[in-house]
Amino acid sequence: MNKFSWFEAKTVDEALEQVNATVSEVLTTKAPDQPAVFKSGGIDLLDLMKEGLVEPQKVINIKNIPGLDTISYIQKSGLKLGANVTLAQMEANTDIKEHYKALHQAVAHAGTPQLRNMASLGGNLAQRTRCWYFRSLDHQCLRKGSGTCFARNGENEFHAVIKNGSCSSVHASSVATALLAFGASVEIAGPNGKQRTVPMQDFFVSPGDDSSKECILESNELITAVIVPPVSSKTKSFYIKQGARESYDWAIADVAVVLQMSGRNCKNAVVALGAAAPVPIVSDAASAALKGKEITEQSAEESAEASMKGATPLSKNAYKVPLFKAIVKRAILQTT
Amino acid sequence: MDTKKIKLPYGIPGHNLSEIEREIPANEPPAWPVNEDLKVVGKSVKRADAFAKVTGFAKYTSDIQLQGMLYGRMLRSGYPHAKIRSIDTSAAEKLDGVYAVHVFKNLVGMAQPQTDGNSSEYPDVKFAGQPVAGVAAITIEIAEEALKLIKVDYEYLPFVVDLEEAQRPEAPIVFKTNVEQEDSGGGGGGQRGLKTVGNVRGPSTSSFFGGPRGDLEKGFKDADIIVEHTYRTQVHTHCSLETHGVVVDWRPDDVTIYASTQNTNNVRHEFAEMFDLPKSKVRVITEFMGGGFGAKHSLGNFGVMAGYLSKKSGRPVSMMLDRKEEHISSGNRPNSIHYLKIGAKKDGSLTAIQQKSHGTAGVGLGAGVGRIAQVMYECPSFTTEQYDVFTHAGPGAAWRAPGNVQGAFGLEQAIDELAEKLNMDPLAFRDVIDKSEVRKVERRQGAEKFDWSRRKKPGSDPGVVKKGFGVAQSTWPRFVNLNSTVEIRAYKDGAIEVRSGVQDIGTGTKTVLAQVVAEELGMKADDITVRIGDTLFPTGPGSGGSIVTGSITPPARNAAYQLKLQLFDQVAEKLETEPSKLSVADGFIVSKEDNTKKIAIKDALKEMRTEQVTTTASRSDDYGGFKMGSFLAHDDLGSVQFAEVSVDTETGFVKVDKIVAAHSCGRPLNIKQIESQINGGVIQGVSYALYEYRVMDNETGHQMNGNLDQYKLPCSMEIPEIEPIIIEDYAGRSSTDAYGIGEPANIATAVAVANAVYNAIGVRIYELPITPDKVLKALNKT
Amino acid sequence: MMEKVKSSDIKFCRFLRVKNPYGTLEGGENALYLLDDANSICWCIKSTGGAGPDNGLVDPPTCVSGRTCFEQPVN
Repeated sequence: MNKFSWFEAKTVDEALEQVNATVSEVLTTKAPDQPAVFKSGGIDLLDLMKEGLVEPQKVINIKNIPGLDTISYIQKSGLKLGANVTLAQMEANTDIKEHYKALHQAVAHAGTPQLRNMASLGGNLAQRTRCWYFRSLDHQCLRKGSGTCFARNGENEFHAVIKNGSCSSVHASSVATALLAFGASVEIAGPNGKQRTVPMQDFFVSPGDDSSKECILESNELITAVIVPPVSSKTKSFYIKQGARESYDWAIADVAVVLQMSGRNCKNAVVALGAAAPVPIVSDAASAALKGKEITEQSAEESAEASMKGATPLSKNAYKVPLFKAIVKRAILQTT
Repeated sequence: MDTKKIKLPYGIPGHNLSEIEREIPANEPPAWPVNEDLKVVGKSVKRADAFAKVTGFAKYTSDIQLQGMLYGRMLRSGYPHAKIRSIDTSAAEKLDGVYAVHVFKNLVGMAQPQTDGNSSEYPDVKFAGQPVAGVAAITIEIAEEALKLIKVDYEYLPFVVDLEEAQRPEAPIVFKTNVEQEDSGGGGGGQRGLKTVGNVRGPSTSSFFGGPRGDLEKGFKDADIIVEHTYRTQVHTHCSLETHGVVVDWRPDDVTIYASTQNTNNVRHEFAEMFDLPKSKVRVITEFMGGGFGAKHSLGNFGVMAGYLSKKSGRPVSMMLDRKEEHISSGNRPNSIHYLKIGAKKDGSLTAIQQKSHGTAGVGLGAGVGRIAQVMYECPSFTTEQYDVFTHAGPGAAWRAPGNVQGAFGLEQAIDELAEKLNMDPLAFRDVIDKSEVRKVERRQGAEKFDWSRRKKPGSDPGVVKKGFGVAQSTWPRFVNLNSTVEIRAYKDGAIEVRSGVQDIGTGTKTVLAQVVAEELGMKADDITVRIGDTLFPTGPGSGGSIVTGSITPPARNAAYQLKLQLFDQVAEKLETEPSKLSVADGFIVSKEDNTKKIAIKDALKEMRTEQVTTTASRSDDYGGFKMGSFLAHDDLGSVQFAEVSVDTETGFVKVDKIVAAHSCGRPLNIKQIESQINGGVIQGVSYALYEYRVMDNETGHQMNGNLDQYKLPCSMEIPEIEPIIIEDYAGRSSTDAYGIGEPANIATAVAVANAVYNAIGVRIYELPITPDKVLKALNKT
Repeated sequence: MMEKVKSSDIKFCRFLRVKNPYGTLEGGENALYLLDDANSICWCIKSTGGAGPDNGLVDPPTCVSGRTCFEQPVN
């Protein structure tokens, strides 16, 4: 790991004054010569630095900025999660467990207890893909600024089966899958006190639009919070993640289902998929298949089928299609 | 040589225990009875170094800190096949904090390149990750920065890393030879001078266990049922907790090497030879060892590099590999494509086994599938053809029962399939074809503990998640290494110290040595201090082939026995009796005729003429002579493992719920430690069955999952319930009659899991690891 | 212990090492049993790998007199 200087930010403004690059810019050599980047939990940044993929000259610690580490829940307005809230904090939060079951399940299955103790929510959303070509110093891939996706005809067993035409890597956050299903948005602070709130589906950037980054964050921006809309007693949700291992693994496939029930019928549904496409997506077809329907084995199966309609699996990941269908169906049937 | 005749326990208690009379050297100790009648041996004595290990007090090679110590790192080729035109290290040498730089040069002496004459003084690069140069600096970070300053001018060459691609005639060649090497004949019991065509070398057709037998054609003609399939296994990399590494401290008068090694003696030997030093000036220390599964027997290129860097800098150099280096360069279990054809008659008797295999150990040899198909079952005709295929990939190394784990994956699935075709239960079928008494007992006891009756027809479990039950067996020879010596020192204050160069790689060697000596001296294991893992002590065996326990415990007992006889001589007069009428018990020397005549061993030691006495013994020949022929070792170490799995037929994921592992290792010395070894072997077997595989990118020749994130080792949730069964199996072959367990514990697990998966879903998976893509494909769901 | 099998009159290079699958190291001052071609790992301690100082394969049939990097055993 390279030598770097350390800046301990005490306010958001101070942090924004110091920063001059995103990790994505460092990786695609769009960053200034002396890159200064944010670090919260440090899980992803330190990994990238240990691999020698990014060599920032300055690391700005945003972990201790006051006010970014709280969870507030108000029944009418929903959930507000500070960017520095750890996954462990979310896992322990009873409001999340009670009202946002799928989110709780996603958080509780992320990483390991040790990682969850350190990992921040903001960092989790801004982390980079675990695609092994992306993580390899020996492979200058599409996401790092070259024209080549090695996975396309290479080792792609864990890669995307949907919208995988340019880069086929998948986003690493499984928490994002659940947040997406709950219609969350991301609160972002910019320079000069500017602030914008972006719906989760607009936060992530598809490689077809820009392969150099996975989210819209600019170098002078910082996630300050994630806002999750309120739910009612008629909101039912469930989340399933399937990794190569049950303990400590990334998702090969994950799904979050959030249903608004009206009696026995489903008034509205959101079926969100992680590790299916390069970024977490809402499957409109799978969601629509449940709308106005009773939740039964049959409607769940129809939704599951719809979730993989148009899938374009690669040479080694065709198994992900039936896998997604299976867990989508199971998640729908287990919503409570 | 004076000899005597003694009777030793023989067979399996509760099954066929008897006695056997053997003529043995007169100075050997009397026979021990079965474990039931012993006090320390065969009991679950607490691990001698348990406290040191759990408190972190134990210092491993990576913990060694010496005054002025530097950190070494190696520059590795990022390309799988290249010639090196030049290397410029000048910038690295100038970097502050760098004390030595060394470049590997090969064409030493008279060596001429075997390739195309385009001579370079640097070795050809033959795999991505091959070390090229090394640096020693005051921190790891500076060393790594220096590596970036080394300029290597490569001429890139075409490469091949895939086992099947490498066999094509047009594939880039790993080892160029000017002519096809025909069999050059010559000695040895094994075949030599195997033909090499392109990247394919072989076939190897014989082994320790002999060559082909019988008439294959007739065998298949006689068969009523024939099973014929090709099985595939993956490349499995080594993931010891402690990586490979050394600290070399080169001083003017001698060199001390702290090494994470399975073989202190061999590291000394190689270092002395490499640097032209007498062995007396090279000391190797392995006080604590963070695991090794076969790849840590040699000094290694990292050890040689550390030697050069320490010599050049005049400072100690610590050279520990990181996890990526461990994956890509330190040796792996080669993959295999294993064809088997087995014929059987209606009554179950086997008529013929034909085996053919290809595998790649990357830039080296050793990719056979072992000899388990040759030796485990009665079968009149057998042939094998095993080929090594060279690829531009990291080298193979021994890996917990080399070849046998790959071989068993095919053999035991084929046997399972034959049983089904013969309409026989897999256990009953093995009762017909397997002559091993110990496995018969293991099948019986295992089936009972596992409740084998739960097993139903393949694929008959209703529901989405299907349960399956399977069984598989293994065999491992009882090898020993006679180059195994133990010294025992007794001090006037009553202290007893055992010394040997043998290392404890984590299996519990220290503890069993204490137990054996304590048993012989009538003391407690805690009373014995064991100092091993240092070449200042008498030479011990390497930890490979599961030979350590069988090699080092007999001389430990014999040295203790010699000490005991000396003490008897010392005190006989005082106790007014003859030395031959004395015995030991509970810390006392006691007259066998009058138990009031006794003296504490501690007090007896005070009577010694010198402050310290030493006895030394080396491993004796096996009792009863050694038989060559169809078996190299007497009898075998048998195992039978039972697997219970759940297969999710919608997601394709397999979970191993339970393994019952029945094993034998001669006279078991420490039950708890044997159970630990079985647990470890089973966990690695489950991992081999379901999780671990090296992912190589064929286009760039790199391993893509050379870390512990993407290379999937099992964690807590993946580990099944494991129930070990340990069978005492006496053969009367040495003064302890004990053998190892490390490798046997790993052989049968993966194929037992594969057979259980078949039982669950009714479709066979012929390739490891059994990942969801293969399961879903087998079920026609992709 | 296995009986010592004589590797006939052939002298092997002093730097050739073989680890057979059953744990015994062969070569140098130890006898070369050469009994299991398929699972023995061979290396040259001079070049520290499976390729010799001449870039060729390290294996007993070729690590003999006549190969350019061959060195006589000490004894």
